Amino acid sequence: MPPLLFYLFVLITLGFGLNVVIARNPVTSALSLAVSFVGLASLFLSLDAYFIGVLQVLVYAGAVMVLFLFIIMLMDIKSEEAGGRANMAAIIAGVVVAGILSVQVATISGKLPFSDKSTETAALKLAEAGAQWEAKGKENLPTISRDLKAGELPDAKLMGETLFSKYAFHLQVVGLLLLVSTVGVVALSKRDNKEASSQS
Amino acid sequence: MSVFTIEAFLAILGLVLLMIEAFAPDISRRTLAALSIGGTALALVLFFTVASHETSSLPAFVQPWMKLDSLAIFYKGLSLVITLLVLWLMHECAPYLSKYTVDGRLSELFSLPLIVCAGMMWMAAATDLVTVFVALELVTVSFYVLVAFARKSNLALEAGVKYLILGALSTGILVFGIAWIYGATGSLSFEGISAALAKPETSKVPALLGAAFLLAGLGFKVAAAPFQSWVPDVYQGAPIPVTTFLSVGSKAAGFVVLTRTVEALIGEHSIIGPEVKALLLVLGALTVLLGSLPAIFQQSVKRLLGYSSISHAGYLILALACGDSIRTGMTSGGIVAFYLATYLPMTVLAFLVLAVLRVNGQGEDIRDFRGLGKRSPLLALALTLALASLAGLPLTAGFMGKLFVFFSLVDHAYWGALVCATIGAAAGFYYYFRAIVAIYSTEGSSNEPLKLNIASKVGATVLAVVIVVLGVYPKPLQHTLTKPVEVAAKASAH
Amino acid sequence: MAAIFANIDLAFLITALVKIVGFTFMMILPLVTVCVYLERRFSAVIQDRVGPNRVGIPLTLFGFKKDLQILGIGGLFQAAADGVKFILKEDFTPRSVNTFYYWLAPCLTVVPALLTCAVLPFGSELDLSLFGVVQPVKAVIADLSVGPLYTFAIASLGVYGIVLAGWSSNSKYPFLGGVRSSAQMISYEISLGLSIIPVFMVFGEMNLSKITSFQDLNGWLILPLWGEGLSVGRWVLWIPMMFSFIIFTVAMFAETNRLPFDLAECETELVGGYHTEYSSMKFALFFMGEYAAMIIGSGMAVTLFLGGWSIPFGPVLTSLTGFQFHHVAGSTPLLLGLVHIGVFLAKVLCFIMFFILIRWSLPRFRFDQLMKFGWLFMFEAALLNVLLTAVLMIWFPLK
Repeated sequence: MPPLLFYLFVLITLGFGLNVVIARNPVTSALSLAVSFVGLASLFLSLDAYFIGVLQVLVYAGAVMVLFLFIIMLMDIKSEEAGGRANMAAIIAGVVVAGILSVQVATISGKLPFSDKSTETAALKLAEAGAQWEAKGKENLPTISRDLKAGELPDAKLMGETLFSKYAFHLQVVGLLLLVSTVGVVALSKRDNKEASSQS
Repeated sequence: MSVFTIEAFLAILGLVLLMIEAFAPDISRRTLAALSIGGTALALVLFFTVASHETSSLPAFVQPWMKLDSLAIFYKGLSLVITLLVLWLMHECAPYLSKYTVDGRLSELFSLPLIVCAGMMWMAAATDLVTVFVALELVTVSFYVLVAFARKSNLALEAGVKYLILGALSTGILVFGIAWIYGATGSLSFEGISAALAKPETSKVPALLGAAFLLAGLGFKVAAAPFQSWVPDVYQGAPIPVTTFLSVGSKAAGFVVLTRTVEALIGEHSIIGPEVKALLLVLGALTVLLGSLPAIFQQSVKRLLGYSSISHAGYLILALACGDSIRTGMTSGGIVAFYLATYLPMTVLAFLVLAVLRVNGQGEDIRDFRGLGKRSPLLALALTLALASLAGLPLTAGFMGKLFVFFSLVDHAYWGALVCATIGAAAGFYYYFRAIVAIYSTEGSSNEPLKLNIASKVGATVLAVVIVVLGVYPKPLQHTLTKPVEVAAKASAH
Repeated sequence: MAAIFANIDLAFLITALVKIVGFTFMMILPLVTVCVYLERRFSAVIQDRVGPNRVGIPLTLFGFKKDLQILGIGGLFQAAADGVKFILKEDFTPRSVNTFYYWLAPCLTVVPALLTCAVLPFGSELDLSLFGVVQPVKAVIADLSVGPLYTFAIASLGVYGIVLAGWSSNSKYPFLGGVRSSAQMISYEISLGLSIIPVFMVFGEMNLSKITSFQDLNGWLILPLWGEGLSVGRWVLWIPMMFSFIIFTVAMFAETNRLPFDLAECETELVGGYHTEYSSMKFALFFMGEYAAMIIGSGMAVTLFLGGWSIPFGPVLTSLTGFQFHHVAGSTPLLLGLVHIGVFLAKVLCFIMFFILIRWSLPRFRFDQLMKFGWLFMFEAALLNVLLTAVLMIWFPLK
């Protein structure tokens, strides 16, 4: 990706991210967050991580943020929009902490051992990986080695392969986790029959 | 049969109970409680038979992620015991809890702890950060539900929201830390991290940043300062059994992870060892102070125990910061495990008394203890023992744990931390004894005897006996936990 | 500055631009007008009415006016007249609306709908050596390895337009429409996504071009009648594929807010739903967004299940007649490439006719029925279908 596009997407991600915090209208905040996610997704795409990039949009911008917007719309936001007096101490503290953290992370990133390597010199050796993959024999998936040999990075397939073979246990624990959280949400948000009948 | 089968059995039993609840909603609470308590008891028995064989191995697909060392076995046992006790407490508290839940239903309260227990057992054996993370999240997410379960009480709702928001934030911090550690060391397993940190060419600053975030994230989970502020509110709002579970189970699970993480970070020749140690000492000392001093002013017993739980976490972090102690012959992990083992009976006992008072229509303040000495001498004696042990009175279990921590602080000559720990212990004597005084004061209380069932009587007696036995004769437990040092010494000698 | 432009492939840029303009603006958008005409004429036929049949260009015979109808096709310029009407109407903005979002909402409906077409292969490849282009040009704007997911991701952004239209209008009917719509779209997105997982499992592939090429040689997914399609495995797997196709189609109806799932704009309850307060061209944009989404949805169904641009029995016809009917990478004549585009458009049109047929022959759901159907039937059915496919693939693995 040309550096110009990189800076454009970075600007979108950060600018709208900032707007999430400073916007008065909650709907604007929610939408800015969605746009920021789309910018982030573009950055993933530029790293050849198409699958993650697309999932970022599909899950966060397309589903989670819509639900957020849904909730915001159902609430009365007039008072928010009018805005009370800003809590200056909190704002200053927030800005200072965020500033310190970003300076810290930026400095440290500059010191990482691979920060001087550029993407051109670190090209992926796909054909080699394809041959290695094929050598795995029975366990290899034919479509992955085919793609690798053709010089394409099968990111979704590789991720699926890793998730379902190497991290199979973790996947099941996460499944259990999701079930528990779903049950929890239902259990906590269920309407109380006794209460409802006594009110009516 | 392997230990993993027992964990899977617990998780599946939890799922089955959820399904029963969903498809047969008319099932009685007693049946559910019997199923879950019976299942856990069976798991505990099976666990002791399996764990005594040294050969118990893990199935192939979890081999790379888990290791059954004696620390893991110990914490797994601890998780099972606390889960069993909590389920029993749930059953005891059911009459008053059902007033606060939707339609008076409590079914999830009997199935989710089983899943939490499986998660804690996986955490105990985990050897890499990914496994730690998923197991930790399984436990935390289940706790979000459990804390807010008595949702018709405003306090419980507030506690649930606070725990959810801060928990989610801490998860984010933890993941950020893991990402930096992975970037700096190129590994996610504790062994790999330790090995990478021992190499001089590993870049130090990114590893330090990762370590800081990792410790902060775990600090949230074990209630270390400055991430401790959620504890009093959540402890106060959550139902009593859940508070018990949080203060023992969740803390133990957090500390086993913290133990392994700290061991990996400050291992021999670690390039970030001194910094991490200094950080832990400061955090530990601060935690002791921020737990002990505000506790002096508390009126609610649950808040008091919350602050006490913070200060205990402080001692444990100090123990971790010290590393192996020569004087006692225990590893820092061993000291922490011993401390938590002694912490279990005294905390459960204190909450049991609180639960009995609650069921009898009393509140949760210190003044509700008044007259307990007359109303139920047995409970009064047991509670006195528990509080004295929490304070660290000699000849109780709590004393030995604190003693080990002080020994290792003296061993490594961390005088500043020692002073803070002493101040904390002194404050502890004040606020625990204030509660003890309330037990035996008679002013303004009813004299009618408390209704106690057999199970509560037996439970209180057993827990009190355990406290005394561990205080007078701690050798057997200490011996089980010193084994890893000998094994490690042998291994390094070869 | 020069360095930035130095590494840009000019030929790639120009072909991409031509493809974008050609496919999006010269095929999809005109198809929208065709859809509008078809919708009106077809509904008239179904309801035994005459329907619009008189519009043509004044003083000419273009457009087959009433006097000159062939096979009942007349009034072809009805859509153009509709368009002119939209442009010339007063563009009224109510005073109570939140202006910024009120203006943004129609754009947010159309743009995602048009963006999704980027990964649809609308033809095999075009051999442009006549014009000096050495490499054959693939007839797809972006040949992504995660094609369908990209489409779903962008399509899921379309809901913002509807939600914002409902909210910013500051009026109760649009608001109810917006809320209904977002609930509905999120619910059915799950079954839509789950329904095509079996398809990916069978193909072992998410690249739409590769999926279509495979179907070209080995039989369409739900019509495996030639090539390797005549094996036992394909016919056993045909069962879950058929389930997939049905679930996908139903979920797509819900996603595009078409009857019987058009609860967001059901006029008997909500006046006009989320676009009640819109008029003129802004209203037309919602219309266009809906039809564009429908066209892309049909294109997706055609590509995944009905062989995309491929000619039925292509390889068989090739061996029978001696002329090339199937796509061979790198050596496909220009004419065949154009025929493939035509075949794709024809299939899409047929699918759209099916959409319209359903709209005018089924009654609308009630909202609680809709949600129940989505969560208690479609979701489970899609999930079970994934399981069924996985179990069947133990014995009939992918090649």
